[in-house]
Amino acid sequence: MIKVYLNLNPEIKDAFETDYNNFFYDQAGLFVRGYWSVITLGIAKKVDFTGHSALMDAMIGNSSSSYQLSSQITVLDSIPIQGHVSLMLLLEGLIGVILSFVFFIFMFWGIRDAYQVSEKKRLKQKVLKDIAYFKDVYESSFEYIILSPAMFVLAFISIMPIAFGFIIAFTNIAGNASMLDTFDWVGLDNFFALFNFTSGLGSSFGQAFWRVLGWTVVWAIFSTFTVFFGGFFQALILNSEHVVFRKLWRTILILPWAIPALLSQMVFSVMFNEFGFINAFLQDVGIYDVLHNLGMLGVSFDSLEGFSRLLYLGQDNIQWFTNPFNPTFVRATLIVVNIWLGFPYFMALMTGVMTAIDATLYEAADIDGANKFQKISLITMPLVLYSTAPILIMTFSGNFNNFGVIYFITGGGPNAGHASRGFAGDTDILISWIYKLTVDYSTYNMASVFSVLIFLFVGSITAWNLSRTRAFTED
Amino acid sequence: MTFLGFLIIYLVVLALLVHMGTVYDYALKKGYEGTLVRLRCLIPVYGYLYYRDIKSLKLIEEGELEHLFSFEILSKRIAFYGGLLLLFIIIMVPLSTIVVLSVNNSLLQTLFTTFVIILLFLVHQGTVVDYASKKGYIGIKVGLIGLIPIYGFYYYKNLPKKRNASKQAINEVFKLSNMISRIFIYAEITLVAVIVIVPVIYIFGMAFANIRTDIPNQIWPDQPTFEAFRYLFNETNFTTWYMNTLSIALINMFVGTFLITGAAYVFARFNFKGKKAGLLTILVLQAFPSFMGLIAMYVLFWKFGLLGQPRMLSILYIGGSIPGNLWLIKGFLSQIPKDLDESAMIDGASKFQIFVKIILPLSVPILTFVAVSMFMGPWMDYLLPGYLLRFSPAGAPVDYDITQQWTLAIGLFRFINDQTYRHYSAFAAGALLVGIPITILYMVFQRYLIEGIMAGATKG
Repeated sequence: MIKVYLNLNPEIKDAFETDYNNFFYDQAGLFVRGYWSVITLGIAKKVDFTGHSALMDAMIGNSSSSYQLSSQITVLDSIPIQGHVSLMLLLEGLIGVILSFVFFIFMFWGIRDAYQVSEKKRLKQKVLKDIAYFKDVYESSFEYIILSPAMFVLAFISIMPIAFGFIIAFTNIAGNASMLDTFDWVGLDNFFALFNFTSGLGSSFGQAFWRVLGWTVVWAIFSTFTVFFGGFFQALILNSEHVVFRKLWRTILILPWAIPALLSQMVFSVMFNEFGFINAFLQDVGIYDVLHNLGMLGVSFDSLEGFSRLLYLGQDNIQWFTNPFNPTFVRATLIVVNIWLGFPYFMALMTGVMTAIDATLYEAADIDGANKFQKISLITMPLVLYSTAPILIMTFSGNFNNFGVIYFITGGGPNAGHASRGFAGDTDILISWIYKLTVDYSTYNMASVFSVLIFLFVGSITAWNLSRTRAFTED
Repeated sequence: MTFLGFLIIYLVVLALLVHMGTVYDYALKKGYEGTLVRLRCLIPVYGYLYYRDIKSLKLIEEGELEHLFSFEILSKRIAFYGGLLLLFIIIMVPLSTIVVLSVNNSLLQTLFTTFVIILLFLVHQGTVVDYASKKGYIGIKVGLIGLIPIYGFYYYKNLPKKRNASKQAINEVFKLSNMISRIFIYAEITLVAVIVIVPVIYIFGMAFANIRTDIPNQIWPDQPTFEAFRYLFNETNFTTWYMNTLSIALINMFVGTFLITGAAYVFARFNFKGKKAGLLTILVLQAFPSFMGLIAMYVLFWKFGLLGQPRMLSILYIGGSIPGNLWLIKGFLSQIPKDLDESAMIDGASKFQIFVKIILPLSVPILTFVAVSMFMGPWMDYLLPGYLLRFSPAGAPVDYDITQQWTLAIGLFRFINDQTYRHYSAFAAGALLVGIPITILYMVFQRYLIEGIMAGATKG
């Protein structure tokens, strides 16, 4: 039908052909096309072609005409014509660009080598022949040959996707449809949206971003310190001279570290379910009655005011991870649950450090008349802190990106998935939010913007941490 | 109102304690000590007046007494007693709640009594072991005998001393402060152990129940069955998931470790153009969130028709693990003295021979650590497969079973998260089958693993 229509109207066909017959797209080689696609992201939009509908009406009739052929056969009202797919173009473009760099390097190396050989010939020096030459190349560039497979994998599996993820922060790709269509460069618009709460993206994502960022920082700080001091406290107790069968206790207490975190996180999400084991247990032992009497349970949220709203646990059951009215409670629960997951690692680490502390230090302190508390705070604490500080920093940036705890235990909720709130729930940290934006809500551009910001944050912490270590200062 | 009342009581008790502490120190300076002095100090105002007017037994300067009332000492004392009182309240409020509740609630009563009995056993054991060690008996046997109540104590009471210890030193074992700290320590450690173990028992209980969609709220089922295991093997693709994950892990371990070791060797041993830039690039890459390239990876898989092939994920795992592990191995290799290389070079070994015959055998510890962590990585990773394996391959038939391309992490999560696949007992059974080997592995190698992580953090 379209073919007939286009033959009847050659000028439209010509216009089409100039639009879609793009030199770079159709004829250019890998590299030129690569650069072109990265720069333009494709220019032909996906269109729904409807120009032929008049012709179609004439041929098979429409609902108002007297002969109803259209009821016998079904035709699409509009014919989608696939334009350039920016996503694909961008990927191919990046591959082309990276490959072209590799070839540039080869080219320069070749030019240099040829120059050197010609110089040698000019100076009448001995020039290596075939096999001897390759042997020489192998010996002199052994490093590069060994490195090349790892670098190749790194370039295409690590650098290219990250570069891809990085640059779509500057485009307007969003929604499932954009996967098959073109999208455009928008510069820093996505970043500006974070500061502009009144319009477009900013009204939902701008506010949501600051909310989520605030909670992410609070979460990272609290979860790190509770785990750190929980581990420290437990290590102190375990190292006390009164404990018998220390190894047995240690083995029991280290269990949460050995169990894969993913599994224990899922178990917790079931255990703390509104109708789950913890609530059933609390009900059985009568804690529920106490909470009812205190007005923390069994009343509606609206009837409370002021301070007691912060202590609201739920209507019928304690809503550990689903309480929509009292996110503070959900967040606090999450931090407490995280202690279970995290303290054994620090405990194991610190018992090692503590047993390595020189016993004469404590004897000297005894002679000086220090009490137990002073011995802990002035000897044990600083020594342990000194040797675990790098790990503390690593744990901090690890918690900042602790996807599992959030995603598997609360799924980001309560109050997750509202478009007006940028789809972010009350316990969503940046990383889980980004994952959901990518996987469930296809808001790729904003997800990418947040990834870039996380990189800036975590990257600076890691760089600062590493710059102080031995390995870095040596090289 | 009640809050205000509590606050007033708290402050009054705090003031009493601070007063007592100050006056007792005051009396100590004057040379009085003992329980009677302490009791007298508890009486407000009178206690102070009494010791102010009393004759000093020791020679002291006036300033030393005044110093006790200085702001510095006083504020420290207030903070100390304030904290102590707060701790006391934090412990006593739940404890008294439990005691009160257990009067009416038989379950809580049982639990509480069991806890106290276990605590008594342990405290008894601790005391006996301390007592025996003062007499010169140590070892596991002492600990085991100490677990037998009363008899254990008499057993060691009647044994002769192996070591020369004074009666006073032996009696110190039974001092009140030692007893209290023993009780606290064992109460804490038992409580934490219970908290640690309960979820573990719960998951066993869940696995042996047969619960499909109701939230399991019992710690142990009434009628344990193996139904969930049967369901897992017969009606789901659990074995396929296991094989998928296993093959990803194996490919990741062998290929990845091989690639990384070569690169790390070069970075640790040679100076070449672009070394610094390369190291820096890797460092920067490490800081990017791992899934930032998720969309690109999807497009990559789409373009090359790899969607729906779980094994292909190992390419992505290898790429992602290069930066971190490269630094780890490089840090280790840098510590191997370069003289070894040089002497081998003099003996005529090529670079490749040096690597295979000298470097590789020496770096077995770190390679083991890296290989194990590369192997463990894919088992419990959800991010990548969760996104990439949700798409069927191009041209898949209509009745294509998407579950056959899953990995364990996805399968298990779907059991508790997805309405269509929900089956709590199957989740628990699967978790046991996956978790137990990993847990045992971690427990056995815990020391090496923790040291390895520590090395990664401190040495880069």
